Amino acid sequence: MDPTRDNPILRFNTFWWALWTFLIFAVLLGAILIANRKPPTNLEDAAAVARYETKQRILKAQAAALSSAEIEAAIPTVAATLHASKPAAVETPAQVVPGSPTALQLAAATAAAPAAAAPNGAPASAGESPAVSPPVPAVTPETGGQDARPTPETGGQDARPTPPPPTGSPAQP
Amino acid sequence: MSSAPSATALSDATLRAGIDRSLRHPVMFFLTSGAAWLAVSILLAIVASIKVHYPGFMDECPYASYGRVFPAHINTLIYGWGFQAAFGVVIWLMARMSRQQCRAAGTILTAGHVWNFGVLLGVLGILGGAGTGMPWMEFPRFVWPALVLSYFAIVVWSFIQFRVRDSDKSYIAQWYLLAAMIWFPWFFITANGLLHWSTGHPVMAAGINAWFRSAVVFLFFIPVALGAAYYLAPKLTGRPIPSLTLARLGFWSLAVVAPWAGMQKLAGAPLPVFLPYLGAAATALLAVPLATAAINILRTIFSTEEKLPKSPALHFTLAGLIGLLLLAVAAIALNLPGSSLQLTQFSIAGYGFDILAIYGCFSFIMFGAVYFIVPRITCREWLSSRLINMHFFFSAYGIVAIAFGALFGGFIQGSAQEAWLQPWETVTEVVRPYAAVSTFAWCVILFSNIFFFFHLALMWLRLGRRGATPTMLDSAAADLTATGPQAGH
Repeated sequence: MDPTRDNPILRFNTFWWALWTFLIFAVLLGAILIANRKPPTNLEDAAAVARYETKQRILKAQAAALSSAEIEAAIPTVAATLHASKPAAVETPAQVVPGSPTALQLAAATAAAPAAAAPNGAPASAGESPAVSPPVPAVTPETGGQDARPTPETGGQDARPTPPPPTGSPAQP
Repeated sequence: MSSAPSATALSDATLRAGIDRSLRHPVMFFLTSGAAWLAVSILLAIVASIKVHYPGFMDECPYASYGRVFPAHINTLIYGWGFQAAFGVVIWLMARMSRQQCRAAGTILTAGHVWNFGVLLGVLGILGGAGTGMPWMEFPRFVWPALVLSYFAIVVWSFIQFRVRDSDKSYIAQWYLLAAMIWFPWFFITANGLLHWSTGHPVMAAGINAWFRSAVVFLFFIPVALGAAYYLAPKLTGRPIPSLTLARLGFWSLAVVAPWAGMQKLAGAPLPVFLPYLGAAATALLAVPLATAAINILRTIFSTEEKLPKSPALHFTLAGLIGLLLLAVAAIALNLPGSSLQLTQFSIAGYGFDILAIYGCFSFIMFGAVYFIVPRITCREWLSSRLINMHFFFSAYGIVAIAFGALFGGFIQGSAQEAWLQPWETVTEVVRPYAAVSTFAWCVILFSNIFFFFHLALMWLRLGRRGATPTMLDSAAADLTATGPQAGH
């Protein structure tokens, strides 16, 4: 047995040697990653930049969305409010079923209003019913309607900004 | 004349007892918690396997969806059982072969708790839907730095023990163990760093992930298993390793070939075409180091003309070596580009290969090591040979059913995939019987491993049998005196 072989200095040195052996892989990896960091060089790389931006936007939008736990926690409050509120007649219907008599009446009124105003160019009087276009059903991409249009947030391939609602349509809840 | 040798033997026995005592709690902690994770992993495997042939099983529970349960099963098998069993065996073997007591048992124990906590968080993350989706790396990304740090705190002391060992010679087992200890941080940091830190091309990320999976098996689990087998076989039979040249060939061929394997899983993907072919060639070539080492150790075991002792450690090691030979054959059979690779690439054959490697080879040799080590560090003998028998046979039959079912079923599944005139439904139909067999086999293995865990826990509590006679697999051998190979504690 060699008594000089086992001593604190050798143990200390070996500890750091082993630590360096482990860390050298991380150091080399970091150096390789830094050395290979370069701007996009081909079309795919350029497209990847846009994809990562879209991904970040989606992740941010998802993070900002209400979680199911928050929604579930809010349900009792909303339900209590609704339960406590009294039903009241709606003067201007917010939603009209397409093709229903009400929708047809509204469409006829919309068509008649410009026709009535056109001959003399005078605006409709305050006593007449306002020109109201048929409201757009409240279908959004979040509600998953079939007519939901892709938006940049939903990442659709043809993503376009959502167009503004038609003039005169009521504000969506 | 006889007083000198007896004094040496006494001093030697005292030294070994001191080493065992210094490592009792760290080793038992790793082995027992590893066995508990193994039971959890098998339970998850049963759920995942049932969902293959009965998809409606537990479908109302989102935590039990296949996409969460299967990764949880594989990750608990690897990080919960595999690595912890390896830690327990490695720190004990390195201390014994270096003839050094452990002076950092508290640090190792603390790091072991951190490792377990990391695995627990990772599994909960997977089941909660926060998995990364990268096979074998599904733990949420905050887990892997904790695993690296605790790994370092566990194994660095074995480096020191090796460095300050008494003599200049090193054992074959130490080559493999040291190599595994160094290779693990290399591929673990590289793969996790590239996949979690950098935003590379997604296809290349899949390639790195495939390489990582191969590296876990061939650069960590297999070297640890071979290191343990190279230690156990001569110890249990009292015979030396027959060929040092063969051992060198096996070690260096593994070191040269294994790092190139893995990317054959992406054959046909838009990668540079040489990468999958290189991976396939390397995986097939791995048959050389695996078969070389297995034959060398098997020659050691069968070199004795006496009847092999009914030692549980020897039986498990022998079964693990047979599993290693089968793994060598499977490495060739599954990875021939142009013939078998296209049939197995997208089938359950890959799962069969992984299970054969992790359970059929690595775990069996680890079980052998556990049955060898635990009586020495607890100073108690195993309570029941019947429980050990049950553990051995249930595990052996179960793993044969799973591995062969998945390998053979994978070929059938691949053939059905290639039959493009048939509807795709036939692919799932042909796999269903193999999945049902797999479910039953996992149940059998779970049954045996639960008792293995309790057996191990009782030993840690020092409730094992007092006595000098080791527990053998047959009752007749249990009556032998302590002159057998196991007596040389």
